Formats: sequence, structure tokens, C-alpha cells
Amino acid sequence: MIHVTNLRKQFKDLVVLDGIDIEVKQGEVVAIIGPSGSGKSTLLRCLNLLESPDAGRIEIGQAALDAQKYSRKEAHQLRQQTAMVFQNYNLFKNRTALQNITESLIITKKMKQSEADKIGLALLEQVGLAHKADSYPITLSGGQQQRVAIARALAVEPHAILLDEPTSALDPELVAEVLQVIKSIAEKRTTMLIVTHEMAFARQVADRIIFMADGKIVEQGTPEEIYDRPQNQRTQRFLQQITAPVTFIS
Amino acid sequence: MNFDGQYMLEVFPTLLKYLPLTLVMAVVAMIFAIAIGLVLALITKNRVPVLHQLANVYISFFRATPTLVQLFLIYYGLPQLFPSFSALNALTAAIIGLSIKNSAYLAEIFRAALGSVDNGQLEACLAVGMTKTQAYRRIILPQATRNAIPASGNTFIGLVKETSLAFTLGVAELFAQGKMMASASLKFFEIYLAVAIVYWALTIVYSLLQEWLEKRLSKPYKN
Repeated sequence: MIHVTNLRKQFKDLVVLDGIDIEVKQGEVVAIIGPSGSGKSTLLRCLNLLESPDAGRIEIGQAALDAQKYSRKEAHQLRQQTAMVFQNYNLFKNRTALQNITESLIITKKMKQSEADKIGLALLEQVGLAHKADSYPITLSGGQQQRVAIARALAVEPHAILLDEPTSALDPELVAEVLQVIKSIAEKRTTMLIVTHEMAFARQVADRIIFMADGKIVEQGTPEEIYDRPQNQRTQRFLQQITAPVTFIS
Repeated sequence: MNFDGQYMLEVFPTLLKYLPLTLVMAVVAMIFAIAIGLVLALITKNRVPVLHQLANVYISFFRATPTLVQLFLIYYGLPQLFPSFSALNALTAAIIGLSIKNSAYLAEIFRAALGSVDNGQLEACLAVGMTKTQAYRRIILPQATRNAIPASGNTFIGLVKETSLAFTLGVAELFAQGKMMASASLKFFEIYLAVAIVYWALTIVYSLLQEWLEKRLSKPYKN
């Protein structure tokens, strides 16, 4: 399904991805956790070439390419295998909620307007926003925008959905509604790769947790293995830090 | 005071006969300027090798030299180097000159307008499988257009007034006609005030059009 070998990426002197190997099976939900700057988001963005990796091999669905030499056509094919949900939603600002979903169907899948609208409305229904079909993004709350963005990602029927910190930009009271939607699509066995800081959520929805630090995969396993019996010191330290109660110095 | 209001009113119908020519020059030049300016902006924004440096020289030259000098270069200068250019009539030369000059200004406006569209919009397009061309056509350019309209409107108003420079190439347009009537009647103030009022009215009408367009394009962005 997703098969990544020895993926490398460097920004000037900084090595962001230092030989990443990942295998994700059809229907698997994988959560990637780790400290900021560990390369989690870059990894996700390399999978659809929003960042261009320096070396390595990426296979997703029907597409495969070598990061060192690929054509524009190969890149386009690889991108069509996945869809992405961004931290700050990135809904098309000049399109209504419904049009945000139907845009790719009409433009890339050459679907008829009426057919696309039907799919779009069904997806809006699924994320609980059918009544907002004709609203523009600016009139929606962050949580609503992110739910539309998830519907937009589902519309293209991707082999996998890449979610890049989907709740990090949200006000705390809006996080739950978005997590609920992600959970509901996880239950439908949609292949997902989620970069997240929501540890409890990751434990709940993910089949597997990957812990990354300094551009490497330090440890991976089932949520129980990673959260309850972490083997690596760095994983232990990271989990301690984020679960420790916040103390203020007065 | 020696002011003949009656005469001033009488010259309007004659002046207005030349309005279509002024409008044609301004609109045709604007259309070409938009097309060239957009190509230049896309080249500079995406830093297309070689073309990007050439575009910068073009923009620099045509923004930095007086319009009048450019018009003279094209109409009087080019035929000297390329005899085939002597077939160029004054009106065409004026339109070419004004197109080129304003395309340089618009290129900068468009580049800024494209830059003001958040890069996340392009990423979102690519992430759902659109090509870059589809992304620009459907999402980026429509958003950039809205950002570009106020400044482009300024350029257009400037262009309308610059059409009066065509008179120096011998095009019988609004201002040229005014000048001829003034020399005949010696009522300079009345004529030139009438000419000024025609340009002013034109700008007012255009501004109303622009306001309507801005409102229409802003609809998706209003809470």
C-alpha cells in the first residue's frame, strides 16, 4: 500500500529525514508522534511531494518513484494516490464548502456537476455539515473548516489520507468535533497517516504508533507497546514530558 | 473675466465624437497590457530561468523611461532600423507603446497579487491531484484577481489619460481635437476645461464599474 525506503531530506545543513523506512498496509491507521522538529510533517509532505525528498523510494497505491529522478507525470500520479488534510485547513477561499469538495471531482476526475454535487453533499452529510453547503470558508469556524477539508480529502477516494496535525490550529473546544470525524473514518478502515500531538486520540484510533526524533524512526509498535512499554530512552523521555503535569514557577 | 460658458457647452458634442477613439486606445492597450503583464508576472513569480532575467530587464526599462520617449522610439525610431515598421500607422504605434509600458506596471501589480495568495492554496490543489496549471486557473488566479483590481484600476485610469500622448504621433484623438479647436477659436480655457471634464467623467464612470466589480468579487470573503 504505502512503501517508503530510505527517504532522505535535507534543508541546507539540517538533516530532516535521515533514511526513513515505512510500510503501511491497506486499511491501517498509523499515527506519527515525536517532538517538534523531528521531521514528522516533512515526512508527510514528502509523501505527496509538497516537499521534494533528496533520495529514497516512494510507492503508494499504483504509483512509485525514485526521489532522485522523477518526471512531472510521475509526481502527478503519486499525488493522485493520496489526499492531505492540513493544519490550517487550506480550504479554497473562493469556493463554497460544497465547491471545495466537488472542485477536484470536476477538474481532475472530469465528473459532471450534478454527479459531483451528489457526492459532495453526501460527504458533507457525513461530516455533519450538509446545512453549510453554500457557505464560504470565511464564514465557518475552524472546526467546521477542518471537517470540510476532511470531506474534500475523502472525495477523491485516495489510497491513503495524510493528516498533518489536523487539530493543532483549532481552539480547544473545537478539537473534539474534528477528532470525532477522523475517528469515524478510521472505523471505516480508511488508510491514514496522522501526524498529531493528541496522544490520547492517537492511542484510541491508531493501529500503530511511530515515534520519530531527529529525522529517524526511533521506535514503532502498537499503542500499548509504545505508551505502556516504550523500549527506547528517547521515547520514554518524550512520553514523560508530555504526560507530566505542567508546573509553573512562581 | 473673459469666460465663454456658452461656447464651452457647445464644444462638448464635437469633443465627444472623439471619445470612442480614446476608449478604443485605452481598452485595447489595457487588454494587451493585462495579457503581457500576466505572462511576465508568472515568469517572475515562478523564477523561470533565463526568461525571468529577461522579464526583469523589460520591466525595469519600461517602468523607468518616459512614455513619450517610448512612443517616439517606436513610431519614429523603429522604422530607421527596420524599414518595414514605416508601414505602422500612428494609432497602432500608440496602442503598442501604451500596451508595453502598462504591461510593465501591471507585471509588478500581478506579481504582488499572486504573492498575496497563501501558498497553502496551491498546496491544497496539488494535494487533491490537480496540476499546477489547473490550480492557477481555478483557484490561484481568481483569488489574485481580486487582490490586483484596485491597483490595476489605477493603472487603467493612468492609461486613459496617457492616450492623449498619441496626439504627439499625429493621432487625431480627443486632446488633439481640443488643441485644434483652441487654436482656431483662441478660447483655450473653455476648450481645455471641456477636455479635462470629459476625461474626468470617463474616470468617474470607470470607478463606478470597478466598485461594482470589487463588490462582486469580494462576496466569498465577506463574513
